[in-house]
Formats: sequence, structure tokens, C-alpha cells
Amino acid sequence: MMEKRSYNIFFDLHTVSGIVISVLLYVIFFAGSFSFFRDEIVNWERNETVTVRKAIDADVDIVLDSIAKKYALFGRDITFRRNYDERRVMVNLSNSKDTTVTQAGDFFYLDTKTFKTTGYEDSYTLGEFLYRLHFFAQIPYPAGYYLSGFTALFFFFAILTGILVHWKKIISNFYTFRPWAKLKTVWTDAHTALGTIGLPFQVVYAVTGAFLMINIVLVAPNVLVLYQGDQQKIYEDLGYEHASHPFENKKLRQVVKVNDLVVDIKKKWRDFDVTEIEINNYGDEGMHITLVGEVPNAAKFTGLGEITYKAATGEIVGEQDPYAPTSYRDGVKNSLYRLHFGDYGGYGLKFISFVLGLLSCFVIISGILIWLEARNKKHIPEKRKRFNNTVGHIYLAICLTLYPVTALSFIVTKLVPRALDPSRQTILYSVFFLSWLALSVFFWWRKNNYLTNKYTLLAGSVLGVLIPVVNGAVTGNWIWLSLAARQSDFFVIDALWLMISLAAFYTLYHLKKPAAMPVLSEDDSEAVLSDFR
Amino acid sequence: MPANPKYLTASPWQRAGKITAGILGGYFVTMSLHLAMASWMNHVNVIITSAFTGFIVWGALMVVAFLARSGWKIWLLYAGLTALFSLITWLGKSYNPQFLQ
Repeated sequence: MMEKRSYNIFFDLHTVSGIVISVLLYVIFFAGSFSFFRDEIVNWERNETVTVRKAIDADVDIVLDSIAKKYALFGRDITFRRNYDERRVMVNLSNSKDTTVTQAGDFFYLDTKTFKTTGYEDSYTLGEFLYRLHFFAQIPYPAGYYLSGFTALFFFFAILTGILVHWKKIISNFYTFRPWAKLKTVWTDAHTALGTIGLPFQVVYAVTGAFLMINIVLVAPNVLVLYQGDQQKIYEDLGYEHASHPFENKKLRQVVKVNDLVVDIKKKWRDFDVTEIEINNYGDEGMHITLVGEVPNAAKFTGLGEITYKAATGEIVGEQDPYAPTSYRDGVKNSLYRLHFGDYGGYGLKFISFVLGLLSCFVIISGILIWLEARNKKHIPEKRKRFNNTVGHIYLAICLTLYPVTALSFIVTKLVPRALDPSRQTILYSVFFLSWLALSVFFWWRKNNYLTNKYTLLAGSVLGVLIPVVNGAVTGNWIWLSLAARQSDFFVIDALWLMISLAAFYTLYHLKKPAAMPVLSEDDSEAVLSDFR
Repeated sequence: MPANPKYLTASPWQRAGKITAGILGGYFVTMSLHLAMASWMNHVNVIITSAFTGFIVWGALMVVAFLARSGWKIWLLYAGLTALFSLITWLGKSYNPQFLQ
């Protein structure tokens, strides 16, 4: 009795939470899958290759000289950061602490090959667009972040209730697959089997994803209760802020070669990649240089290192050896990011993560279909049924059109010449969101889930095959040439789209037009329910 | 095949009680539990651990709230736990010589 009660409660919770977040979660997983290849997409779009991964690949002193032509640097904090495997690094200039320097600080990207600087919008790419769509950053901050963060939290809730529903039969159901039985059983079997395969992956992404977007709800009580409102202190304790160094307002006599420090540190810490250079109080007696980076994941999973020099004396004032034992704090923190970004295992891990991400999309779709089928019964009032069907049409239209819309955007971004880089963001927004809207409305209007599925798959796979063709025609880097030249970024994107298209063609080939959806009688649905238990 | 309604909460007040207890009450219990631990143990380690455990405990408490027979009783339980953990936090802040060290 008790068991029946909790089973039904779990079932209801899983259904309700699942159907509420389904569309949002689908977008998150779909865009997130492509985000594993964010940097490859960016390089593919720009037709640029990177020779060095991770580390800032430029002579910092030459870079500083080139920046100094445009900005008076004295008294500023200058940060170089390479977050992505792109040729461009991010440069942040603070306002000068010398009040006579009135020129405001700035943020821009700097091409490490040409030293050309560009603003954020001029550097916009489809890779960046998809990456940001993954956490709804196109919705103004913080609404988009919170929406995606709470979606992740309720996704965890849905996973939890989902496991509880299937707990008793989790093993036997795993081996149950009846694709030629009733339509309903196809969806339930796929939903449970693939949900179980993807379970560890999905739990990790739900929990870490929630943290990345709504960590504020965890941090805020700590700031208020433990730290008496001192935010600076908690972020220093958690290792998110570097210690600050006072400005002395005296010109530094000697010239500091920052690049020598970068070269030297590689001798001290073998294979150390400097990913961030922070210069405090440039050109001042209080100038400090901090080099932040890591050793390759193959050498040590969490090998974060950091070293700070005082420029006036050259002495080391702070040091964290990447080869020394990792603190608990850094281990937890780093594993959280690495697990979510999936960037510690090369292309193999990226590809598996990509597939598991799309598989999660399929779990979501099959969940929506179960929800629909389960409500397609005689005793449900006609009006209610029409409402459910409309919800189903809209949900599936929004989700499934994402595939051709993304493929189309890859073609468009390749056809838009580099000279139009400043308008690329506007172009991508219009193409992506308008075609998504138009297609969603169209398939909603057609009111036929079979049709939605078939034509989105067809359109997506045809456009997908065209992507490597367009790339080859525009850049001359045909897929076999980039393979031969070992230009992995170009090859990976072209090959990825070919593989997706192949999978879609295969699906289309086996897609059968369903007989008119039978309406289940009470007896039937009882039978299906017992199947499911 | 939707869940059998005879096992679900019918009264809207009861349902509202359980939903709020799960989401808000669950959050209060989660946070006060972590604060209580942070006030007596290595606070940095507790806070960074909560990056994982915070959402896991919160999610589990949401599920538990819906298993309760009465929305009021589960609110009472969660409020009681929050009060208990807050007391431990207060004791830690006042008497733990290692607090925030």
C-alpha cells in the first residue's frame, strides 16, 4: 500500500517536473552538445588554425608595446587571459590608479598573430552563440542564467524521481526493448534504457550545471551569516580572487621583461601552460606580475599553478606549485569545471560527451511522447485531449526544428565574409531565431508530429551534408585536405556534421509512417501500465 | 497511464504546503545544515563541498516533502531542523575558537 502510494507520487513528480522543463532542457542539451566543440567551431568559422593549445602563445612584451601605442598603461591592472583554444586572447585594462591618467580602461580581444585588436561584438561567432544559448545568455542577465540554473536544479529533481520510479525494475527494464510492439512501449523502453545509460552523465551535468549558473543561492547565505557581508573575503578564501597589491604612485626605474618570466617558469615547472597573466599597477613601484596556468591533464588532473613576482625586486611573493599535492578546495573546484566542460580527454571524450548530450535530447523527446500517449485515452474529455495534443505539437516543433536551424546557421556563418564580422552577431541572431520561430510556427500549424519529425530530420541532414561542401567551396579547405594537413579543428567540424547527417539519413530510412494513433481503452492502458512497472 | 490520483494530494492548500516546504523549506534546511558544519569544521572545505552536496541535498529534500502525509507537518519538521542547525551555527560563531580560521 505504502509502496503503491510512493510509486504514484514519484511518478507524478517525474511527469510534472519533466514536462515543465522539457523544452528548456532540450535546448540546453542540444546547444550544450555543440558547445563541447565551441573552440573548433570558432576556428572553423574564421578559418584560423592554432598551433599551441591552452597557453598564451605570444611574446607578452611585444603585445604590451603594441597596446601601449593606444593606451597609457601606467598604473593600470592588465590581464591577459586565454579561455579558449582560439588565436585571440582576452585583454582587460582597468582604469589607472594614477588619477592623472584619465583614459578609461577597456576590454578587447587581441590576435596573437597579427596583434590586431577587436571588441567583443566584432569577435562574435556561431561557436560563441551556441555556447551562450546553452545557458540562455541571450536573455538579459541575470534572467537567462537563473532560468537555465533552475532548469538544471529541477532536472536533478526529475532524475531523482525518475530513478525512484524505475528502481525496482531498473535492471530488467534495461534489457527490455520492444520496438515492434505498441508505439507506447517503444517510447517507454527507449526512455528508460537510454535514461539509465545516460544517468551518470546527466546527474553530473545537472549538479555542476546548477552550480555554474545559480551558485549565488549557495554562496549568499555564507556571505551573510559567516562572513558578515564581506564578499571580497569569501571569494579570496574560495580562490576566485587574487590578492591585491597596493599602488605606490612612484615610477618603477627598471624595465621588466614579462615574457622572460613566462619563459623561465616553463623551466621551473615542466610543461606548465601559462593561461593567464595578471599585471598589477603597471610601471609603478608596486607593480606585481602573476602567472596563472596548469600542467597538462595527462600529467596531473588538477595541476593548477600560480606565481607572483614583485617587479621592483624580482622576488617571488606568492607561489603555488602545480606539482605539489592539490588542496581539497582546488580539487573539488577544478573537477567541477572539468566534469562539466569535458575538456580533459581529447577528442574521444568530447565526442562521447556530444553523443551522450544528443542522447539526452532523445530521452527528453521520448518523455514528451510518453506524456502524450499516456493521455490519449477514451475517458479523457475531448477538450482536454485537444489541449494535450496542441502542447505536444508545439513542444516537438520547438525542439526538433533546432536541428535544421543550427545546420542552416553553420552554412550562413560560413557564407558571411569576414569583412562583415561587426554585423555577424546581428546576422546570426536574425537567421537563428527567425528561422527557428518560422519553422516552429509552421510545424505547429501542420499539427502532425510524424511530419515534424520527418521533415526536420530531412532538412537537417541535407543542410548538414552541405556544411563541409560550403566550407570547402569558400575556403578551399576541403575535408580530405584538412585531414591530410592535420588541421583538426576544420576536419572535426566537417566530419561531425557528416556523421550527424548519416545518422539522420539512417533514421529517416527506417522511419515508418504510423497508422492512425489508436486510442487506448482503459484495459489497454492498464496493460501498458503494468508493462511499465 | 498518468499516476493514479487517489494517491496524490487533492487539497490545494496541502499541495501548496508541500511544494513550498520542498522548495523553500528544503533550501533552508540545506543551507542551515551547511552553515552549521562550516561553523565547526574547515569552512572553506565545507563551502566548496556544498557546490556538489548543496543541490543534491536540496533536491532530495524536495522529494521527501512530497512523500509527507501533511504539508503542515513537513513544514514543521523542516522549520524545526532549520532552527536546530541555526542554533548550532550560532554556537559555532560564538564559542568555536577556530571559527573562520
